[in-house]
Amino acid sequence: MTFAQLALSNLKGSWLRYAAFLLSSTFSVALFFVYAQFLFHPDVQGGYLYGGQTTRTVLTVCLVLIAVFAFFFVLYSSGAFLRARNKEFGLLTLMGTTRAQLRRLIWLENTFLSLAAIAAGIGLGLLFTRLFLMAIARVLLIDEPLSFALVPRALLLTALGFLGLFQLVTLAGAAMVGRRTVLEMLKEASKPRFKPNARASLAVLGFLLVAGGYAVASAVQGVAVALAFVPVVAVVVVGTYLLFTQGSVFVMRWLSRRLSYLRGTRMLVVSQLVFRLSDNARLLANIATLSAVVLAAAGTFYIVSQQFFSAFDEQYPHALTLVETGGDRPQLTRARVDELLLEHGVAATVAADVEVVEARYLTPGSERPAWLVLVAEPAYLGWVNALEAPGGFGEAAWLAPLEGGGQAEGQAPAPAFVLASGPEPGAIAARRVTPPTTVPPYLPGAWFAVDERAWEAAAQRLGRLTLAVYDWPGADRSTALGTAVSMAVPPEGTMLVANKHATFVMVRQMLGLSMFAGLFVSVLFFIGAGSLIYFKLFTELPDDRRLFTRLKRIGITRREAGAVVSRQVALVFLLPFAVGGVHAMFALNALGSMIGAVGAARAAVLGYALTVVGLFAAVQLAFFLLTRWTYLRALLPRA
Amino acid sequence: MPDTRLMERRDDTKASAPRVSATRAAPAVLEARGLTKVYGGTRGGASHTALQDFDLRVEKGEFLGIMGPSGSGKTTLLNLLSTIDVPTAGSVRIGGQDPAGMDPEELALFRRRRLGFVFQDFNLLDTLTLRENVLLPLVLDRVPVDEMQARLGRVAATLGITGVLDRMPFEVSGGQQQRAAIARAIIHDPDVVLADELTGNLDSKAANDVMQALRQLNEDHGVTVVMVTHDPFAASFCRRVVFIRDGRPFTELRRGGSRQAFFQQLLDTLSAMGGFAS
Repeated sequence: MTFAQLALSNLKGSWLRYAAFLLSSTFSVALFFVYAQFLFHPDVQGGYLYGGQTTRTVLTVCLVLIAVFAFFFVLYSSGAFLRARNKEFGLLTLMGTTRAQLRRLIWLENTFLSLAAIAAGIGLGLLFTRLFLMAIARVLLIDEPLSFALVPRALLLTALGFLGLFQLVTLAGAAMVGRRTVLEMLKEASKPRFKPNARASLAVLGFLLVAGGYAVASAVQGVAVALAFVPVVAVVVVGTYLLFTQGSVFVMRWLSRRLSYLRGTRMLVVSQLVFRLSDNARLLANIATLSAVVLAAAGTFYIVSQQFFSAFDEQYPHALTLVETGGDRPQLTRARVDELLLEHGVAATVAADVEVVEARYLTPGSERPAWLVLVAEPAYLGWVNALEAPGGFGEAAWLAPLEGGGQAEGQAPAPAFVLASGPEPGAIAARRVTPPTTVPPYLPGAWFAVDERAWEAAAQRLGRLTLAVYDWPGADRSTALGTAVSMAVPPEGTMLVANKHATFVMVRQMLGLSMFAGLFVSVLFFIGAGSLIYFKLFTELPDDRRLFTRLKRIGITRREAGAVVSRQVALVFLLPFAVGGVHAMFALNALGSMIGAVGAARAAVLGYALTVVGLFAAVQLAFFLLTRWTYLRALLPRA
Repeated sequence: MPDTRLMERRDDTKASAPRVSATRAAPAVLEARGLTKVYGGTRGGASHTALQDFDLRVEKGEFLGIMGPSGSGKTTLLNLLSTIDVPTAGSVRIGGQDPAGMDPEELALFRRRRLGFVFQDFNLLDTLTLRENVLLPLVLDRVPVDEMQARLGRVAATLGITGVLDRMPFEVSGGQQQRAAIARAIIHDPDVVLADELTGNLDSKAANDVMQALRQLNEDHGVTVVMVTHDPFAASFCRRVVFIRDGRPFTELRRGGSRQAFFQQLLDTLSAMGGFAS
């Protein structure tokens, strides 16, 4: 038998153990490949995305993040994997395998595995690329998905990148093997099991730290949240660590003192868990902390975007607001909008305009002039009526005209008014008003309503502008009309238009893209974390097999054995994510305090947080069920 | 009642001698008829008959040893009797029930409730204390806690392990582990205790302690024991020893006088059988 054949038959012999490693590596490759396919797609590189270069930079950063994550994941799991096989290596050494041969064996095995993972990952990635492109087109509100194409650059980067990555990790792993003596390696599996020890004081401290962290996180309000952030996180991280390493032992001990411990399979579950939890405490604590971070980040993101979308209709009550200057500047005109509406057979539900005067004014005591918008009171009232939108009058004011102020050809306009403190000769009585819709950024400034005569006089002197408001059904969704309007706006004329559709698409693209990238990283994390627990479980498989052989001889039914294993696997698998989820909920609740959400708004924030945590919980549950199924099959073969 | 059973036993012993009529009268707790086990041969491979048309009858309160050289079929016989393996032909009845018709779940429950097992490797769970190990069959069957404690107190005292109940298996001696295993095998009052080379992993002092304890259980409490061994010392504690060779019964010895004399008889028989190391 050649060396390569030995490596291959090793793989065939214990495929269940390798399967986990292979599967999760394949997933990493597939995720990376799909993402790279998108990023290096010719259309994306050639400006398919809003935000152009900036967006591409963000996406590239995410690609690097995914790569870094994949690296650590492969590194850790391959390390755990090699450690689990110490006994086997010890046996091989005992039979005269040299260290160099052992390393070559490991290198060969892992190279076979990584080639398989890369091939399978790229294959899987190809299958999912089209689905991904369709999904991303929906997220980005683009009607036409990107055409499906095999992007050579993505293929090359994925294949070569992961080959290099696996080689690096394998060589590092192989170098570590064989450092220990044969005896140490052989003894690995048969160490006597002492009941784990834990210090009560540390367990209590862990509990107090976590509880204290929660209490502070719930109590702080507003800006204090940002200040409390770092200390609270540090305290909770330390507390989590103590709870897992010390507290778990105490909880299990307490459970074993209860009378119900001596009923059915509970005794087996609890007594096994004492060891299982304390053996894996550090890994579980790390996963709990990292899950909390990932969940809190994902939750924050989701909350911020949901807040944006829910406030969006308030911020943009109408589809389109445009300013007609009447000059020869390139701009979107009412005539053109009417034309477009007609072309698309859309009836505008709102089409109202109002004439305004724009000027600069001075506030006494201030050097710098500000902008104001003057509107005639009847026109304002008519406008508010036509829009059926809340406007409203604010406090009264006096505007005193300044001599020589106003429009000046070729230079910056001089202030035309000064804000007076009371009635004085020549001053106009004015009232602050709120515009009933979004005003294009071309017209910044405070709005004042004045009587018709005063307005006419100002218009004579300073010139008039028309502000037109349109609305039509479904304006913020991807309609042909919305796109046509966006296209009709000249590049220099965007400031004259407040376009709900274009704004929505832009923000949605930015948020959507980041969300997508974030989702990728999160999914990778959860797959990675789940796989690590999976490995740990499978390293304990021989112990469990021995145990169940013993139980079977005494007479334990398959159902009971299944229940014993399931409950243990469930706790080890789900506990860290549950703890991470609770941490994240407290963190997101604090986020709610920070953005000042109270009552229904806070409930909404918590609802969003629950959505995110629940989504990941569902994914994790599915992963758990898969793990349990595999583990039970390996442990109790055949029905 | 253990005591009355104990009396019956004594009468029985006196009446015994190699008489067939007296044994017929006692009820059989375990009865094997025409047991045959053939390994392999299913896919055209070579087949091997491990057990051939074997009959065995174990009465209530008996202490039976099964001896034979390696490969004689004694482990196969024990596996068939303990329902861990299925015979190719023939039948086993334990306490009047035939386990052949049971599905795996029923079989597991049957083993747990009607049989007690003692193994060469003790078969204790190393994540449980001795107390928990001994209680295991009762715990799995959800016996009320009071009753469990009462039974535990009795068997632990009988086997002299009361002081080490809260230790983990690897913290106590092999003899103590095996006595804990015996306690587990009898705590649920099984119809029969099946022991497999139970002294194989013990030094001679521990082996003596364990066998004394088993004999005490048999004589004072009427526990029925079937023990497979190739150690004549352990077998000398039995009252009847069946010898098996090449999957068939070879001969049978009953203990009449002292254990020492019986031990000598066993040795003689073994050497008569030949080909038996030790």
